[in-house]
Amino acid sequence: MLRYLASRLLALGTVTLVGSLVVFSLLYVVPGDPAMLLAGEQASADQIAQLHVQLGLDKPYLERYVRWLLEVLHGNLGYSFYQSDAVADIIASRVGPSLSLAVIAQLIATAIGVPLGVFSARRRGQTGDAAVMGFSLIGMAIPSFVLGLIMIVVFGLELDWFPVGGYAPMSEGVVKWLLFLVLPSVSLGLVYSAGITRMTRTSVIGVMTKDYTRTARAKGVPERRIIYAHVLRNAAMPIVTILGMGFGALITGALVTETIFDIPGLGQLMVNSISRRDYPVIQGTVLLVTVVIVLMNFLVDVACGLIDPRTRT
Amino acid sequence: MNFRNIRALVGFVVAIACSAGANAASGTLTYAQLGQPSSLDLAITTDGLASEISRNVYESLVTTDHKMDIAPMLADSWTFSEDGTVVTFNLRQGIRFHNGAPMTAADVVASMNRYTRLSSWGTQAMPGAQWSSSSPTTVTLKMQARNPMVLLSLINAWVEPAQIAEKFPKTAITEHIGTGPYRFVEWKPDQQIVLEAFKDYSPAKGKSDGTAGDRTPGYQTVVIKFIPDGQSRMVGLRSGLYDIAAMSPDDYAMLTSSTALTAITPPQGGIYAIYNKASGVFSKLDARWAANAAIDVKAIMEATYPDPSLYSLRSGLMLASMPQWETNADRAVYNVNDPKAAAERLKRSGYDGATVRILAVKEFATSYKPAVVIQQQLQKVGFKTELVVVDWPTYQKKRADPAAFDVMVQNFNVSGDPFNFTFFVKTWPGFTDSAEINAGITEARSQASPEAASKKLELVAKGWADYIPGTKIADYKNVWGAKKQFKDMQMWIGPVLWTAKPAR
Repeated sequence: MLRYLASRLLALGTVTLVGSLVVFSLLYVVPGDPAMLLAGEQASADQIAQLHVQLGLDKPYLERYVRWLLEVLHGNLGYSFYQSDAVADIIASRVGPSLSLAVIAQLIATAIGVPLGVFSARRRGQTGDAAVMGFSLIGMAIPSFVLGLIMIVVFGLELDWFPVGGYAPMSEGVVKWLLFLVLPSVSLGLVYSAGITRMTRTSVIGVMTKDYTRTARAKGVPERRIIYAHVLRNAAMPIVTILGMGFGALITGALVTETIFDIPGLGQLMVNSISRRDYPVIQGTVLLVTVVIVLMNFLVDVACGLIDPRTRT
Repeated sequence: MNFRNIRALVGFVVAIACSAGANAASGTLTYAQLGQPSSLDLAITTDGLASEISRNVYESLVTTDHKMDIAPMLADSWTFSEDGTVVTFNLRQGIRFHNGAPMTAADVVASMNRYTRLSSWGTQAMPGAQWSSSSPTTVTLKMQARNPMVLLSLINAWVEPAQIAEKFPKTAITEHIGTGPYRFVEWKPDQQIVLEAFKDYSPAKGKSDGTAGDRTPGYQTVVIKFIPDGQSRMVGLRSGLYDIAAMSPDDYAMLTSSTALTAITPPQGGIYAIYNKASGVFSKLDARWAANAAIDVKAIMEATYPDPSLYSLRSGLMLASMPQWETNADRAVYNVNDPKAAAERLKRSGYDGATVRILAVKEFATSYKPAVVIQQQLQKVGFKTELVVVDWPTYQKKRADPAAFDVMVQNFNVSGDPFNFTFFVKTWPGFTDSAEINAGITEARSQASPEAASKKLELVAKGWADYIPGTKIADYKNVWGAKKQFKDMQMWIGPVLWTAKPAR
């Protein structure tokens, strides 16, 4: 197991390094000049040139990358061109909202997706199965932002039950925190649950037809025990994989939901930083995204290794 | 009703009467803007949004009224020397900074020298100028050459305490201490800026007009939210989350049909197609003439805006509300709309069928939609065209490269000085290099007063008609949505927030 963990950790480091180089190179070739954006429409060429020097944009590409990498290795992600704050502080201030949204959306998606998938598998071919598959199909077809907009109109504007946008940190009270998160996390979680439902159903059906399930049933083991002790455990690997990967994507990739609900999270930070070519923040955020995704992969691998030791090879 | 009840009722009525009479700031005003500025320091950035927000915190020696005429602010009065190179400002007394310190001539001199040295407006309008104080109540500006429009370049020259000006000699100020009606409280990046009414604010004389006159704040707290998504701003305004919001022209119908909301549509500037004169098809006057003649501005604006009240089809560089700058000299080249003449002139120009690249910004209503119609109109007279639609940073980068575009479509906001339009500058995208226009600008700048300079705009406008550096499409208005109670709030390049008063 230790050797397995070491190999996964080594892969994590390599992917992060390659990811950072790719992002740095992409930013180098993408058109747009942060100095022009900072200086404004009427800035003179001299002022823009001065800003280039101040921001270090006058240095060659490789020098800039190596400097940045060395700083990162010393725990310094640099400073935002736009806000003059440390990138690490800016990112840290955005993790809370994104993590809150991801956790609640994940809970909603798991609470709906796994039981519905099991329910559907147990009633394969019956009306209940068709109804669940219909829900799943609709969920997968509707983009989360469309569902979000519908929910804003119905529950925000018409019924006035929940705020239509914004975010309140938990320090302002758990109820307030939850009120702001209900609409975005439900819209995200419902759509995400559709995929989990399908995956759970397929995986459970696959295990329910295995010989050991049939044997357990023949031995008179109660159906509930068969499902929860034997079937679900053996069907868990693909479900854990989709849950783990999905959680990583929820933390780092809910940009559309964060934008329409005005949640100051990592997705919104990424979009804003790209639109103003704030290179240090883009690099820092992408680095975090890479680490989170790779880390989630790693955790999924570890979990799968624990569930089924045969996968450790 | 017993005595206790009567006493309570009388007390309540007296309390309300007192609070109305005192006119004290109260409540919170929430304003949703589409983005945040790069800084609030106008010596560092020329961002219009920075000016709109920072004017609540800072004040300048002079400012402008709604006609863009100069009006006093921190200076009570001023005099020009006979040769026009020295301006002496008499400072208004009793003004305090938000930190409680009184504003002195030394603060003004330090702020103005910093602004003159660092800002685009300062370096262009008064290069090498020096500020000094001859007494505790006067400051003097000494310029190397006279400029009758110099006061207009000072309307964004904020005064801060001398120690702040000295602490940030080159970089943007991040400690915001001004003399304005609102005190800076916090800036949560990408989220909001919070301002609070300054209780020791000392207003200028006169009624509020443009950014001039009385700036006494109505609200105790102002929260400026940064909401890039237009849909979110619209929904937030409708749900009552925001009091005022920057909106899209497409929201105009919703706002005007609403019983709770109102549309505020101040004129903002002009939409132009600016030709690349440095290289390519439009380096030839004949080709520019043909393109200008091909353009039907009415069709463009009908496709761009949902309502004709949101634009004015008129020639001229300045707004209709600025009659001092009115001229007919460029009227002949406005909205020519003669495709036949355009096609013939294009044929005579020796046009070789090279592709005309029309550069536009997708997210700007004043750029993308006009560019689409312009493309069709140019194709109709024989131009081969390609629409290059990019985001704003890419647009900025591409338009700076003479080899990357042939015509760019965008809006230009009107400042008080028409000779300061960037599209007249040879090194600025478009690369205008007209001896006639340059001579007109030089002539205007050599006049003794703004009134005399305004008469010279005719020379520049005639140069525009002869050289055709661009095609003016129309004057446009921006759309703001607000709760009905703010329908009388003043607008000047955005909402003048101190004129928003809470309902009493």
